[in-house]
Amino acid sequence: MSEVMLEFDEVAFRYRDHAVMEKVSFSVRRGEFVALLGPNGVGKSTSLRLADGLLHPTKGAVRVAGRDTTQTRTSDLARQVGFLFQNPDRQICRNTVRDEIAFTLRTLHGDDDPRVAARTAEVLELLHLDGDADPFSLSKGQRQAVALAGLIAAAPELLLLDEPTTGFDYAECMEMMAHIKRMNQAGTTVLMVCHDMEVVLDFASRAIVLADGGVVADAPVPDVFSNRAVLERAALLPPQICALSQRLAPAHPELGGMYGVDEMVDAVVASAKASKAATTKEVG
Amino acid sequence: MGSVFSYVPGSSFFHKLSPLTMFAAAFIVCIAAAASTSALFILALIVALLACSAVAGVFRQSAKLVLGLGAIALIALVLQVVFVRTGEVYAQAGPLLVTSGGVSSGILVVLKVVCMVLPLSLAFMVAPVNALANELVSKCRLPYKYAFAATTAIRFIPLFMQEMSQIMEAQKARGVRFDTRNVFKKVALIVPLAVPLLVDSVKRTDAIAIGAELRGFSLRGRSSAYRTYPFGARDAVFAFACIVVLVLAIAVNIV
Amino acid sequence: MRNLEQERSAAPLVEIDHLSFAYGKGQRLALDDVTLTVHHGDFLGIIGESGAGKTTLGHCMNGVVPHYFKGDYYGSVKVNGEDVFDLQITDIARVLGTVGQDVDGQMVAAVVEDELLYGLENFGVPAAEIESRLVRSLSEVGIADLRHREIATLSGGQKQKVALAALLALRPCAVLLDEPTAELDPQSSVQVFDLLRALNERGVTVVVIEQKVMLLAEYARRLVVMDQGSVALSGSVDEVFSQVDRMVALGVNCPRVSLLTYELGRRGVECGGVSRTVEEAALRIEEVLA
Repeated sequence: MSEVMLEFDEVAFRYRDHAVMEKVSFSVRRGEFVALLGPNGVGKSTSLRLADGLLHPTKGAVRVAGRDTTQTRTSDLARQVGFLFQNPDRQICRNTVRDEIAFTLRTLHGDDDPRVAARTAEVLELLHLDGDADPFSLSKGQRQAVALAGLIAAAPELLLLDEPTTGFDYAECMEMMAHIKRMNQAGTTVLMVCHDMEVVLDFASRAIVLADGGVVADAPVPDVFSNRAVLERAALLPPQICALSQRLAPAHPELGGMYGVDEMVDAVVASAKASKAATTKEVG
Repeated sequence: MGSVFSYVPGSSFFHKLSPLTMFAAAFIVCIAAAASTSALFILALIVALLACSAVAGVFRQSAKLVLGLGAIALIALVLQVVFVRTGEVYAQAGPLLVTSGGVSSGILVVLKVVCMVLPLSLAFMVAPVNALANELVSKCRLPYKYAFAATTAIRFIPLFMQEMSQIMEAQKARGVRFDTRNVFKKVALIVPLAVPLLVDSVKRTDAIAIGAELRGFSLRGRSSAYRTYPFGARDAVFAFACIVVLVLAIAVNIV
Repeated sequence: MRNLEQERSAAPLVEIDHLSFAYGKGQRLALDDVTLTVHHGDFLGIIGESGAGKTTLGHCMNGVVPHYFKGDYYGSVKVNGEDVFDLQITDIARVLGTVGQDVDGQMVAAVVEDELLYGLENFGVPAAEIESRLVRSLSEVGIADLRHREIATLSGGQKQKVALAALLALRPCAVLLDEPTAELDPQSSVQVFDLLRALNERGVTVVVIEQKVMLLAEYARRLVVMDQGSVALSGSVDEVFSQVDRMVALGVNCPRVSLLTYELGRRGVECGGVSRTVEEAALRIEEVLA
């Protein structure tokens, strides 16, 4: 499982006169779920476009499964790499949901691939979508679900997510992320740009932090969130429970290193019981 | 962004002209270029226009435009060379003839195209479209509604171009072969994309209309504009110079 | 234009009484029997799932409904005591200024200062006053350096600030913002809300539709949770947050510290109700454990 799916090799990228990235190196192994974090304008979305060959590095190389992206067209890369954009409306161009999903499959596998109809029906059912509906009569959240359905049907090896939760309400987000998690469990490698640190904490296992033109941290998500220097440098707000735990740890070491609501509740309850017992003993 | 038709702030001689003068002048130069049959005259005009661009601080954009247009105009050159058959025969390959008439008329067309677009681009770069609309409303009594519609349409060109390129990006990412070199295939692929673009523009229309009305669109009158551009000596001199150019263009033809 | 103090009437800023609205005849109700009052000086946050009617509610406050979108309208909305049917959109805009969801779409100019000029010119602000208003509202929002910049070259956060500055130049006594931070990163979002707080402290009423509940928890004073066109929860932020379980059921992304302190209360560790910020939760928990 340690095969490298995506590799950035000393990548520099300039946009007009402006250096977005100076020297960015990292790699994502097959099957991983990695979050790409950092302040606005640091090149997170650019990185995703580089990974899909929509942009090419000014210097250095980007390789998908060992293949240099400058050697392949994005439309060929699409068989391996899926991209969920922030705005589903740029993708949808068919009159029914079914046609839209089938279009993705036909584009990738040819017009007369016999699997298209069955696969489309399968995905429609999985996402509880009405195949006959006009995509443009749906809510934005449902249109994003249509876009995601196309990706699930295509089953790419590498999935790129550009702020999948921005502009959607919580329930929609959670449903979308649950599907993405399932894809990841089935073997799809995921690289996600996301501003919501709670989502990063809940879904990603590793975080790569970009700042000042380079990578400033590449570590398991909890380690990144407990590294104050990195958080500050990349203008990241840690998840609340993480911040709370750090805030309480000096006086109450037993509450340190917490990330989830449930474990924190348990720890505080236990701690409260213990301190109550201690006070009672003192009084007695 | 950085488009050759979007306003570049500055305080040059041209920026200080009334937007009406600037656009009128641009049209006059355009007509002069169209009317002239002298490649040398048009070439001189292009050089003069580039010099004006340098004064206005937009030389880089204009140079880019000339090179870009030049590339497109080469196609026109090839067509002219192939189809115009007058004068001395330079070369022959089967039914194809390259004649002196073909080459010279080809070069003329290329120069004309460049020389007609350049002044318009220059006008857009030094005169804000809003200011032009304001002047048209206050001096030429154009109803504000039409002026607003026109300026909005112009302002949205770069936004739509951006939207289109993002749509193409999204389609490439899902495997649509926009990166094909076959022009016919490419066109066939682009047609269905009118759907997302149309949906976007319809949505935008409400946002524009509501946004403008919430900031007093219907209250605007002929004299609402804060900044005015009175005609001055500067405008008179410049307009006169442009008319001289037009007269020269015609004179050169006759002589 | 009248000035801010004179605009303050005895009536509430917005009074919505049993309002129902559908965009077209026979269409689904976008708002279903909404009753809500916004008082002068309020900082009101509106949350809810997409399609819950948040934007429509905003449109009903600023007169876009019924003047731009006509539809089926029942009930009444009053702004400063006057029925919106008796007012023009522009009359309401003098009192309650709006920044809509699509910031790009509502820009009318190519350069920042022209964007600010537009409203000032239309509302007939005297020429002598225009320059000072321009300068002041640009610096209020912290973008004095962007005055001559081309709007197309600005970032999403900067554009949001330009839209806000253009609004503030008109000196409305209340502002309505529809998802002002949707395109912004966490830091820029906080900057926008700091700005709103400063305005509110100067007496400007703030109504903000927002998905980022964490920000509202920290900055707003009152909250409305919309669900399927109706007001599901409404009250002071503390009142609404005391029902975290209901908020979760309504699909609201509650701050994790709120979930934590709510759960602690249920488990018998009482820490003074539901906390809204990390700082508040830390102090309460330290108190309990002391």
